[in-house]
Amino acid sequence: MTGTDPQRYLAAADDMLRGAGVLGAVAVTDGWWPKACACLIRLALEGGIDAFWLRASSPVARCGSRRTKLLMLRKRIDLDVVHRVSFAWAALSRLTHHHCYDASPTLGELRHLYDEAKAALEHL
Amino acid sequence: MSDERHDGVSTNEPAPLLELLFQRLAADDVPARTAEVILAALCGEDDLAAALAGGQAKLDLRRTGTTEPRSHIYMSSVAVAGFRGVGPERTLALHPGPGLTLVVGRNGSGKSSFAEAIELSLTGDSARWADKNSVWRTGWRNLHAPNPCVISTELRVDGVPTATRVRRSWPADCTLIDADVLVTSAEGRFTNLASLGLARPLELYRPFLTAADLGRLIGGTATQLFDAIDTILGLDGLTDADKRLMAAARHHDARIKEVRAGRENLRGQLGDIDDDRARRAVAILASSKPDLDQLDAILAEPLAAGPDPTIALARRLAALTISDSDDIRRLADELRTAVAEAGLHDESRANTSVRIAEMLRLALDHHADSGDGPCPVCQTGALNAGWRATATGSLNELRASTLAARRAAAHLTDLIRRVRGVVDGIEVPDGEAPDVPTTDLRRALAMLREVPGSPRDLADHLTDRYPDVAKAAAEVRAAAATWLRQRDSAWRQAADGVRLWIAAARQVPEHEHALALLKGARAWLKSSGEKIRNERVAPFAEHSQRIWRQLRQESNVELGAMTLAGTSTRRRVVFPVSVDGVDNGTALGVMSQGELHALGLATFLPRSCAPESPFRFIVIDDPVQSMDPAKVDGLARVLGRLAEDRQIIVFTHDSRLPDAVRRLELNARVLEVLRAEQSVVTLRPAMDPIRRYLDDANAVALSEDVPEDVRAPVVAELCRSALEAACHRVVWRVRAARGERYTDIEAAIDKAGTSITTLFALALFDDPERGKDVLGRLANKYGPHAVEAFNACRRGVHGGYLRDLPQLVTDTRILTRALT
Repeated sequence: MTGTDPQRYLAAADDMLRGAGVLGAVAVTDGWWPKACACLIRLALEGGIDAFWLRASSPVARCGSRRTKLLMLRKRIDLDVVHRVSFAWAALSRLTHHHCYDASPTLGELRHLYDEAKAALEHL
Repeated sequence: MSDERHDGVSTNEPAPLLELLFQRLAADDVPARTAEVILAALCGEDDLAAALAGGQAKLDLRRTGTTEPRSHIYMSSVAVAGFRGVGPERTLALHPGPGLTLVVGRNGSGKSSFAEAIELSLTGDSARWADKNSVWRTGWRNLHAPNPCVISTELRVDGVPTATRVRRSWPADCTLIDADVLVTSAEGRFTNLASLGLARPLELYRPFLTAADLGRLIGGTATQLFDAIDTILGLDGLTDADKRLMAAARHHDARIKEVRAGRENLRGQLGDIDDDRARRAVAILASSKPDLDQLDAILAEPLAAGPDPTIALARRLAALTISDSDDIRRLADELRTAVAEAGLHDESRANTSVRIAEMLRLALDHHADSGDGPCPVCQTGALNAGWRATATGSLNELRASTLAARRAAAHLTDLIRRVRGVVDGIEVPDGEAPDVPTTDLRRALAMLREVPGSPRDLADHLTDRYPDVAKAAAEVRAAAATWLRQRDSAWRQAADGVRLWIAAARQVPEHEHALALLKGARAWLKSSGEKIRNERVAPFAEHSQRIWRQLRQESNVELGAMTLAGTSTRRRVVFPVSVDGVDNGTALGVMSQGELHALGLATFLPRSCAPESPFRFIVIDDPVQSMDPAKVDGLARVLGRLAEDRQIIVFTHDSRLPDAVRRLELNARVLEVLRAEQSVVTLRPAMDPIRRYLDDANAVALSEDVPEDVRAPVVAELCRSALEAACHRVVWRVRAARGERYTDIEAAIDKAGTSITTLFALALFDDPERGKDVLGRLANKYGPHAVEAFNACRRGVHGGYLRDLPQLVTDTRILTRALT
């Protein structure tokens, strides 16, 4: 959809996780990093998937449904990887919506999702 | 006892226990001695011993409880560094006064580290902590910033300008229990809280409730809770008194049992002794209440006496005395000499001598009368001076010889009599003593007694026979003595045991008396103690029930009035819990985890809130676990009510409790705990989530160091969350007002929440199916900015929105306000 490189989202997310750089420092001090971080990781993951489909099949890339794009992956790459990508995306998606009784995600949770997204991008 | 005990949990000092019991004892007409024992037991062991001995008890209740501080204590902050999940120092600042503070943070956010830090810094009970699990033994220091490791808690004592600070620090490499403690307060500097008199109240009222504590309700803390409530109510004296009475009773009972066992023992021992005294003692001991005086009399019998004929015979045999053999030999020799002596004096010659002497005496008389002249007998001789001299000499000679013969005869007769006396004088008693053969003696004696007629033979008979008798007699004597000695020593040994036993047995009536007194005392104390306890515990129980009623909501579990029941090791707090009105005693078993937690809160909160407690703060760690939403609402109400006069600090792992607090419009301060890399913890006031999202979105929108294409989706995302939260609020308000169940509302929101459009449909039309009408309604009712914001959030989260980000935040803010 956009030209933004998924790696840039990931880099920003990493800054927040480590509290590094101006962005990370501010985010940690102000305490708004967890939600923003989840959002950036999700964007990176989605960007990676979109890029994959742009290379592989433009009709799928144009499809609006995120779920379809994920489901279609099954035919193309290792099923285990698809499962992990789907799980990470579902978790991130949940974190970025508001829910009843929501509390901010923890560092460990985000770090794990970050690693998953990074691995997925390399695969895709 | 006045009416003051009925006016609920009052701040009045309860009537001193001693006085209260005194009045009850009088009212119950308890016998004076029993009453005395009860009161003495209340005061102490020495008093009890004195009362049982019939002496005067001092009745001095040395209770230090009343000197405990009564000022209200609030918590103003806790600063933690290098401890558990908290790395660089962070301070949880609190308002030191009544009010509700919620600290919200996901598991692992460091939230519980603060809760634990508070408890550890105040109780210092590191042992309990170290025992908890391996994490506590090794992982209590923060991994990223282990030094410095400090917990500093600041307390405010009402009316005292100087804060009380408790600082617990761990130098590098030291273990959890080796903390340096420094307490500074208006009263000076100390190394522990006990110096301020706070250690005991901390233990009693435990102003900390952890999830583990709550769960432990069924894990056997019923006894501990009993003790805590008992002490809070000032009734622990009753438990102590009962312990003392029981210890005393055990002592007396043991003495009685010892005597009883000793009797059986003695019977066995004495049964083996062949002695009349032992036999008689056994007979007396056969009775369960032996006649001790009779036993004493047996013990007092002299060893020589005793009516037993065998013993008497043995004693006489042992005392058998006969003349020494040497004496007898001398006697025989004497006899022989006397016989010889007597043989020298011929009897006929003696008679002649006597006649001649008579004749000579008459002739001499004649000569004296008539003077010289012819001899009148022979007629030839002449009686003259010459004749006279010769005749006088002959006469004297004749007289001497006669005298000697007479003396020898008399001596012989005397000796013969003496020998007979010896022979006849040996007396051997009739009868046979065991192990004392007398046959030899009797035979020897019989032979000795066959005395020959002639005195000369008698002497030889004596020398021949007497030694046999003497030898046999000595043997009999020795045998009898041995037998007697053996018999006596066995008895004498047993007699010592009997003597000791009698001394102990004479104490039995006293022990029995004491035991009866103690039993009476315990029985009274048990029934009255239970009454007093339950009167005093009633306000507690009522508070518990009140809390439970608010927490139970839709639960079918009913909590009756808690009571303190049982004594000694079976003392416990009893919760009459019933399910659907049926109390089958297994109610605890059928309760859900959430219900048990709620029950734990209902049980433990009244104790932490006891009016007697100096602590006005209560720290509750994660009370919401596994509670359903309705119970969370109940909990929020309970906490809100308590917070009216208490400082309630609640740590919770999700936002259910803050949401409930917001929904119920309770006053509360909500703090959010977050933990970033390197255990950097942030504490920030948690606002209403809508405002939080929008403020965060604004912060990101203004971060110009971040490329806009990276920033934009994040801002859109946060704005969308704000809109979602606003929709949730609308749905909650509408549906809760209709009386819909919380779980149903949640389910509806969850179902619609997958898409922002359906969520808006639910919020705007109360119908998730009307998504197609959303944009029209937004445009009509809220204007183009609303549509703009809605679309930007819907699409922008996936990238692509590159317009004025601060404007988006502003538009969203307007829309959320309009919605709610």
